[in-house]
This record gives sequence, structure tokens and C-alpha cells, in this order.
Amino acid sequence: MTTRKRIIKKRVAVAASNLKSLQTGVPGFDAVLGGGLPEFSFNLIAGSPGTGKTTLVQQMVFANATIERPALYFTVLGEPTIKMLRYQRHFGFFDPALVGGAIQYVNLGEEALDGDLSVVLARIVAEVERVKPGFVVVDSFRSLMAGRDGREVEGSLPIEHFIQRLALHLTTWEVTSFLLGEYSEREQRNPVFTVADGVFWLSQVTDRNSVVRKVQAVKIRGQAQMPGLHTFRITDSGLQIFPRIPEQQSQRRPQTAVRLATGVPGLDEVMGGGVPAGDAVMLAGPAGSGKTTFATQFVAEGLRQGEGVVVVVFEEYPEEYLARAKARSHDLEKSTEVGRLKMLYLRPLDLSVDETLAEVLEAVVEVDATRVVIDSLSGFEVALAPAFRKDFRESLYRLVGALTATGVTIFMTTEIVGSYPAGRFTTEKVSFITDDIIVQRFVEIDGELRTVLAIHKMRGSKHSREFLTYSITDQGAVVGPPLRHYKGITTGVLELMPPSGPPGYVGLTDHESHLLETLVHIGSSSRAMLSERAGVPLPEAKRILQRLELLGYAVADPAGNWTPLAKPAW
Amino acid sequence: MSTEVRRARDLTRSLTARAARNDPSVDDDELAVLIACERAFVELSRSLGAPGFGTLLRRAKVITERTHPLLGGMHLGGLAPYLGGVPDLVQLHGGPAVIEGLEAILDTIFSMLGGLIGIDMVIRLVERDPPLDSTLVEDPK
Repeated sequence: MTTRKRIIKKRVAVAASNLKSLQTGVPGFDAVLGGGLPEFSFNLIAGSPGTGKTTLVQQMVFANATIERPALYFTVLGEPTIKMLRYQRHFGFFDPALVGGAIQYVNLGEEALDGDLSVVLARIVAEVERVKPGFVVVDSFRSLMAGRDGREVEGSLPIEHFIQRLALHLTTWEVTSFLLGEYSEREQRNPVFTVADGVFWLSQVTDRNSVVRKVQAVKIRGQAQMPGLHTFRITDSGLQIFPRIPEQQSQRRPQTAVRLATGVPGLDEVMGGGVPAGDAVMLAGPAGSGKTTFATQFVAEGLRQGEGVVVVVFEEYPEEYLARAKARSHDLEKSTEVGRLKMLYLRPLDLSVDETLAEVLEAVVEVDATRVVIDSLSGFEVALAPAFRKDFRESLYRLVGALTATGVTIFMTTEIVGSYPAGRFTTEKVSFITDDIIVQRFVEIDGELRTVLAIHKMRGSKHSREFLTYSITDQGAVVGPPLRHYKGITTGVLELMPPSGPPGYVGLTDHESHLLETLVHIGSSSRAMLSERAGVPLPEAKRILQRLELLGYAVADPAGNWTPLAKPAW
Repeated sequence: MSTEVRRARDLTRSLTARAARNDPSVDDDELAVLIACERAFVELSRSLGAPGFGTLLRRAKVITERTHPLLGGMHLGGLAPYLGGVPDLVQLHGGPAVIEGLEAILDTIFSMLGGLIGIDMVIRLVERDPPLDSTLVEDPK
């Protein structure tokens, strides 16, 4: 570091130590502000009616006001005290015990009607000097100026002078103040914008049936705020802001050699030993191909290994998801009870990506998760407010980036529509955000519908490039041997290829070769497991194994486990 | 009598008792209740605004007149809410009847406002400083 840079850094540190920040008490707002609200700052909270200005400032005041540092809340014409108290007291942050002492309401209606700003200023000054508050709110400041449209009222204090004196007075009395107003964006040349230390813009956009609220820290003197628009929601607890995570903050952790078992028999082998820890995996397939079954096994395996897991579902209720998992012998409910599994059900149809991210990140911390399952991206896209669907690709990029930065491994499912290979993931062109892609599909073999999968991509890792059969059994998904001797797999309608050259296994029928290949693929297996993996009925498997033993292709140990004596053809 | 009405009445009694207790020169009950009214009017005008409180007072007077007709002889202030004509009423109807009427007006104001924002909030707005009688702000539920 150069001397000049060191000096600048020191100056910044000294200045920052003189500028204390107040915690706003509004979840997410401190992060947007760059650490909190500068103490003794003179702030403007602007926005159209119904955007949540009053609720935001009330929440901040209730979080900070005390008997020692009370708040003076000046109401004007637009916000009668009775109405405000009547509605605001329903919020969780509203503590009636603070009213009258720590928070004092003063109505300026009469002074405002008088039209003389010097009278208004005198009343504010008198109250400030009497109460000696730590916080002052004027709600609404705009209505003090109502009807003026920038014109001066004869004999009154000019607006610019009024604002200057008010700001000076409040700062001198070491007051952190908030002026609320219904301003439009084209009014930013209004003198109050110039004088204010902080300007916060609240807005809401209605698109079809959804409403999206956003806040922007347009200006904060003395500290670097988080740029851009941040979505927020108003609930019974008050405002919650979801800071927009910029891409550059989502630094990925370096990849390790650790692999996570998928819990799907046969899948880890073809993925080079499992999913690389910290990867984002996408499992794409048509409806009914077993995506959720694979995802559930990934969840169950994580829990079995003692890991924390977060599951985000959009298309079914968590209870349904848990019941379905239980039917496949995965009792996930116990894990939710002991705090190792967190189920998130997000389906309000007006979600923002940042809101989703905030909820998922909170859950990741809560259960110390190493695995996150998003089932499915298609459902996620539908759950988003229409305004955000346009930017789904970019939003998903930020979501996955922010999640992988925490070190978790993400398993996402997505639906494929249309015919293969032209079929697209419904969340089109999202494949670039993933490290690993597994694609499932239906194929027709001898008039029967079968399922196959292929590993399309594994970043920085060797993997099988074959089409592998898989079946969904009572116990879950099981990956079988590769589908060989067929052509036209990508069309969905397969044809058996005529034998070319000498057969792989001399003296074996196709059925027998298939069972042997499955055994070679697994390595060693009981008869029952082999029957299941190969999709061959148990009596038929028993007959074939006897023949394989007879021909010297396989051997059974005393425990009944079969081992192949032939090398795999692939 | 509902809990809200009872707590409104308790607030009236508390304000009157405090007026008598805090000022030794207050040697009659009419004066004590007038001071209580003034205190309530000042505090509520401050927080709700004079026009807002004035409206509330006018409605309270109309309602209370049904049970206390003598209040018809009382006039209200213009912009700044106040009760006028009290001495004449005392002369006409006697002190105890007027005191009862004034207390009834306060009860009505507190009950009406309590219905809108909660009686606990009304107590805090009127008392403002830490209340002398802390049992008033505790919800008996």
C-alpha cells in the first residue's frame, strides 16, 4: 500500500469513528444503509401513498426511542394521530408502553393550516427545546407545504429558509430526524432533497395481481450505501427489507476433493464418486420422470450422513412432501423436529429473488446446512412476481452465486418440455449457472416406456457419457446399467442395433447379457438387489445367475453375494 | 359496565384526584374537575391536534347531554377546545350536578377515544409523563 493510500485509509477510519450509526430495527435496512443510519442525520423518506413510509419510520422510532432519548412525532394534516395510532398499533413492533413517554405525538395541524412556516418552525423548536428528543419525525412534511407549489405565502418564511433552519436546529440539538413526504421522482430538485443527509425512496409496482414494494437509499452522507432497488414486504411484524445481493459479493469457495453421496444407488459411480461438494447440480426431466424422488434421496442421504439440509418446495406443501418421502422409507419428519432439516414452502406468487434468498440463507444458518434442494426451478419461476420473471435468469444467477458462496451444495430440479433433444428446460437457458447437469427422459423399448438418464455436464470432473437406465422402485430411484445396442435414444424411439462383430458375451442371450452388465456395473451384489437394479424379476434373475455361474461369467460367495468375472465392455 | 368504560372512569377519577392533591389552593370539587378537564384537553389537543380534539369534544358533549341535560347550557370554545359557562351552571344547578356532568363528559371522551385507539393508549396520551397511578395502565386481563 502506498503512503498516500495509507493516509487516506487513516482519514476515513478517523471520520468513521466520529460518525456513529444507529441500528434501525428494520430487518435488512441496516445492510442497505451500509451499516445503519448515521446519528443526528436529517433524512427524507419519500414515496407515493401506501408505500409504507409511516410504518418504516414508526418501526425505527419504536426500536430506538427511550425515556432518556425520546422521540417527538409531529403529525400534520395527512396523518391524524388517532388514525395513525389506531392502525399502527396492530404491528408487532408497536409497544403501547412507549407512547406518551418515550414517544410523544404532537399535532401540527393548526400551525399547518395557518400557512405561515415561521409559526410551524417556532412550534417545532419549542417542542424540541422542551422535550429534548433524540428523534424527530414530521409526518407528513409534504402536507406542511401543501398548496404552495413552490410559491411563497406572503409574510411567511421562504420554504428554502424554513428547511435550512429546521435542519440546522435539529442537528444542533443532536436529533436524528425524518421528514416524510409524498414526492414524485421528478421533484428531486426540491430544496429538501438538497438539504437532507439521507434520502430514501419507497415505491410499489402492481403487475397483474401482484404488488412488489421496493426501497432505494438514494443518498446517504458519509457512508456507502448498497446501490439499487431492494424489495421489501410489510407483514404483521412491520417491514422486512431484502437487500439485493450484488454479483461481486458472491465469491465462490474453492472446490475441494470432497464428494457427496447422492443416495441414489448407481448414480455416484457414474458421477465419478458423487456430487463435488459446493457444486450446483441441476436435474432436468419431463413430468413424472422421478425428479423429486432423486431430490428426496439426496436429502435423506445428507441427513443419514449427519448433515443439515434445507429443502425449498413450491409445488406441494411440506406435509405432502414429507408424507411422500415417508412412503419411500425416508422419515424426514424426525429431522425437522430435531432441527437438522428445514422445509421452506414459498408460494405467494409475488416473491422476489432476494426475499427467497434471504429465507434460504436464514434456513441454511439455522440448520447449519451443507445441502440445499430447490424443487423445482419451474415452480420457483411461477412463484415469483411477474415483474421478476423477466429477469429470472439473472436473478437465478445471483441466487445460486450467493448460495454456493456459503459452501452449500445445491440440488435443483427443473422440468423439460417438448421433445428431446429439442426440448428445453422450462427455465430456459439456466444451464450456465450449474456445475453439473443430469438429464432424464422417457424412451420406448419394445413398446414399453422406460426411463434413462445421462450426465450432460460435470465441471472439472470425469463422468459417464452413456445413457443409463433407471427405475423408480418402492424404495426410490435406482440407476441401472447403460443402454447399449440401441440406436435412436435421442429420438425417444429406440431400435435394437444389429450385432456388429463378435458378441460381447459369448453364449448369452440379450437378457442374460443385460443382467451380467448390471452386475459388472455394480461390482458385487446380492441376488435381490441385482434383480431390482436390472429390472429383472427375481425368479428370472435366479435362473440367469445360475447360468452365468455355469458359463464362468459370475461367482457367488458363501454369503450369497455375486461377483462378475467378466470385464465391462465400456 | 365494560372494562374499557370502567378504566375510562378510573382515569377521570385519577385526574381529578391529582388536581386536588397537587394544588393546595384547589379547595372545591368543581375546581378540581375543571383542572382535570383542562389537563386532559391540553394533552389531547397536543397529540391529536386542536381541530381533531375539538371534534371529539363536540361529539362527547352531544352524547353526554342525553343523560345530563344541564350540559346543554355549556358552550364549547371555537378553535381551542374549552368548556364555557361552568360558573353559571353551578349557580343554576348546584356544584354536585355540574361535577357529575363534567366527569361524565370526560368519561365519554376517554371511552370514545379508547374505542378507537385503546384505553391504554388514551391513558398514556393524557398522563404523558410516567403516570402517578401506575395501576391505570395495566390491563386487568
